[in-house]
Amino acid sequence: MADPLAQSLAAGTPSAFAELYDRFAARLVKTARRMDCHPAATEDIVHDLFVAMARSRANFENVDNLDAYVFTALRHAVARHQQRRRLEHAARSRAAENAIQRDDRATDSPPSANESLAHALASLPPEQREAVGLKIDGGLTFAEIGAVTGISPNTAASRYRYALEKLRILLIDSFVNE
Amino acid sequence: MKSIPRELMAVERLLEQQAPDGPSVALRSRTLDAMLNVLPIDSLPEQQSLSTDSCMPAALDAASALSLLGMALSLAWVGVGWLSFHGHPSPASIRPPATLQAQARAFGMEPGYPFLALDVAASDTPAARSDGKGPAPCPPILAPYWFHHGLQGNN
Repeated sequence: MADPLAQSLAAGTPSAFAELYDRFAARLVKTARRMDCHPAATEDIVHDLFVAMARSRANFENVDNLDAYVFTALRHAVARHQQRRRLEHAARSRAAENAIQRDDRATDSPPSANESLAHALASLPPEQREAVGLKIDGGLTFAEIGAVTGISPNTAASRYRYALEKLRILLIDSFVNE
Repeated sequence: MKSIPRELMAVERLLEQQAPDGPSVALRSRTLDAMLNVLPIDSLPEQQSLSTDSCMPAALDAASALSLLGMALSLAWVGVGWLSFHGHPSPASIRPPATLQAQARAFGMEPGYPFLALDVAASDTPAARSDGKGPAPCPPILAPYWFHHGLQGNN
């Protein structure tokens, strides 16, 4: 059964888009930050995503699961952003990158708990990090994660579980020891 | 689907506790403004067509028609008043009372009807009483009763 909000969005009702923002913005920003690990860019990604959805609002007419639709759009937006960023990195000279990395290492201080978690998350395979973001920050079910990423719910659950196991290996021991 | 083992639930709780920050307050107004700027491309012309193509022109037409009619009536009123006040040929002379009386009789009306007051008044003027000799004063025609008698009273 179609979401009533989706019908209002398809009709172009302005209040429906305000409701859409209030319902999804926080979850989208948090999920994008978890997936992308670049906090500065996430608000722009989410902003552009909402504007794109308003522009192509006719697509809402056939949406049954609004959560799955919106997070699928977020996933594509994050993927486009990451691809653009990879191209920008590739454009830099290797010598310049090496210099920046040397400077970073020189100024590095011991990571905080938050930074440890961020580094641990960054070390996960992208699909596992994505499963964590969609489950924890997006609040999606495994069925919805499967719909968003184009995999079965069982595969989505497995990715999530593998991610947690890997994080536990990286983090739990250190936290327990503290 | 298997449930998450207890040792992994601790990691899950840690992730929930250290969730990334949400959106800034400014993002809401920025995004809503941008979305509303996108929406009117299709939705506003429909609203404008309702207001400008049908409602507003109709209202303007009605208002302009009424104002034009009012202007025409007031001009006619002033013109007739001016004519009657400056001794121009009265309608009584243009249309003889006999003709009006004949028309009234043809319609089966009695001379006491209000519109026949014109003829009665014309025949009751000094000019009529003096058999048409001398200057014909302005009969109290087509001007309001109070207007004519008021002027006479002031004189």
